[in-house]
Amino acid sequence: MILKDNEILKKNFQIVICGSGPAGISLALELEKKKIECLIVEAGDEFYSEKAQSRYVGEVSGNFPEDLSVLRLSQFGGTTGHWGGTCRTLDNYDFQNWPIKKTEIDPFLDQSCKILNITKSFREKNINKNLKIIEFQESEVRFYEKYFEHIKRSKFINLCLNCIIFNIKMSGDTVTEIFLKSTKDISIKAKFLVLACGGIENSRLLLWFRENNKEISKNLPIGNYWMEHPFKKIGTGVGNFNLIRKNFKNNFEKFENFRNWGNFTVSISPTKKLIDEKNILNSGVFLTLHDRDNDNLKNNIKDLLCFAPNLSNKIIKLFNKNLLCGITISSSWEQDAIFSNKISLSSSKDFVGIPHSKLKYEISKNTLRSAEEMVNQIGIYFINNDLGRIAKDQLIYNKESFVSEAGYHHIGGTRMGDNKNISVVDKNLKVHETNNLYVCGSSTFVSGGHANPTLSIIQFSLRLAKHLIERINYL
Amino acid sequence: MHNQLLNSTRRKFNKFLILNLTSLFTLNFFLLRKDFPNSYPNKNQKLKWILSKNDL
Ligand SMILES: Cc1cc2nc3c(=O)[nH]c(=O)nc-3n(C[C@H](O)[C@H](O)[C@H](O)COP(=O)(O)OP(=O)(O)OC[C@H]3O[C@@H](n4cnc5c(N)ncnc54)[C@H](O)[C@@H]3O)c2cc1C
Repeated sequence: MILKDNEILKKNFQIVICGSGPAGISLALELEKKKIECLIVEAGDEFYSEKAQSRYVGEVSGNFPEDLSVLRLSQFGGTTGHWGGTCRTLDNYDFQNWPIKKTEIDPFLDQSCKILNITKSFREKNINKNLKIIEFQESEVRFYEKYFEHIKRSKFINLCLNCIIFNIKMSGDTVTEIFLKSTKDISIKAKFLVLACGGIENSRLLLWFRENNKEISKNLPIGNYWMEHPFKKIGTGVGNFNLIRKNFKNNFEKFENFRNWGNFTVSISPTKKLIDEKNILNSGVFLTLHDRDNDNLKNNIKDLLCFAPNLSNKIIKLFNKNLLCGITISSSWEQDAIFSNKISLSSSKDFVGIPHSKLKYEISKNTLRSAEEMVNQIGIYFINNDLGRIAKDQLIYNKESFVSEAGYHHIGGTRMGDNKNISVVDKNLKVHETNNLYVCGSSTFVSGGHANPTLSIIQFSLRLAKHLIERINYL
Repeated sequence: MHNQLLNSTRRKFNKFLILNLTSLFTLNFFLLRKDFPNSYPNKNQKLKWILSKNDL
């Protein structure tokens, strides 16, 4: 049901959820199943509006795209209004530094895949001891299209659009009042408040709430340990089209023509053994084959033959048989959780008076070393299987910092943990030392792995729903 | 004395000539190398190939 701001004043809600992105909506849908009434407060409108989006501008320093306002969407359905829809689960070993194991979110995978209309199939196959090929799924769900009408008709999910949470009042460890700005300033009460405002906004809001509420501990590293998944071309190659296809061919559903980047794309990840032995970060590497008329191929062949004259016969043969292809290697990979990579508050404010976000983000040497190790491993695999030859891009072997070509996945800032000095929420996503303030979304992730985050975000939302239902039943 | 001076100047000149020829050669080589990227876009100079011993 859609409510106006004066209508929400008349009602009592058990749970107020801020944000109608995948995190907030998935939580509300699960509560609805148990007939628990909640209110979703959404800063944006039904569709895109310049006004709502203007709250997303911010300052950036370091190795991150400059414009924070294009990297998320403030409208019903959140950033799924323009997301890519690529999905994969996190790996077991991504949970090494988490207070929970992956098995804690596995029970919610079925339902999460249903929400995203994807097949629950994330297979992988080792191609040697160090590398594995992995399967992704592609979701076409936009949360507006799939859920707006449903929520409009729902008896249990209430939605207030163009309504911004801008502050809270705490008494001891409890949030006692929630301040909203809509057509006017209003304050409401709820048993539980959940922030599901996205991977930058959750930190921004909590930092702002702390400035106004001494009850939120100064020691919590709010905004710190922020991460992303940079996307970058890291290597190039020349190879035998048929052999490569044959070598990587399998029955994984979304394997060939992943995103139609080229003639054939295969996704490769390091095995746990490689990650442990070389002490590298997890990564997803996308190897795409191009036609022989690709511009770079000719130059790459000339370049390769300068260094490897003995390959000339092989290459000429392949060329004559029309089998020579160009290869592009791109990657999107895990970042280390570094305290100094953080969201803080800017001195400028948005139209409701909340300071804009300020992001400081530097790519670590470990990030670059991990990418180089992956290209090395793929290069060796190509030599051993006589598939072609692979080259590292200068950026990678010189370990040069770079600005990500994506900047779409916003991870950390309100990370989960048992130790209050290095985490913000506990394993149930409750802010430490508070009684009823929760955060939900990728800001709570301790590590990002390499998998696109939304599927995991939904798994965590469903897990949070279970926890809140248990607490409500206990009250 | 004059002869000695003459000889030493000659030696110096010879040295100068040899040095100059060497640098000319190097320069030429350098210049030639500089021509290289005309047929190869700069981008390709920046690759590091992963090769086996047999490739070289
Ligand atoms: C271009 C692009 C491509 C992407 N592709 C993929 C992909 O292929 N796969 C993948 O897994 N992920 C992808 N992502 C990331 C994905 O969109 C996010 O992980 C996901 O949307 C996060 O969900 P969320 O609910 O936490 O936040 P969001 O979707 O950002 O939703 C947050 C909501 O909270 C609202 N809000 C913010 N502040 C307030 C406030 N103060 N009061 C009330 N409401 C507020 C916002 O208006 C917004 O609607 C992509 C992102 C981008 C930008």
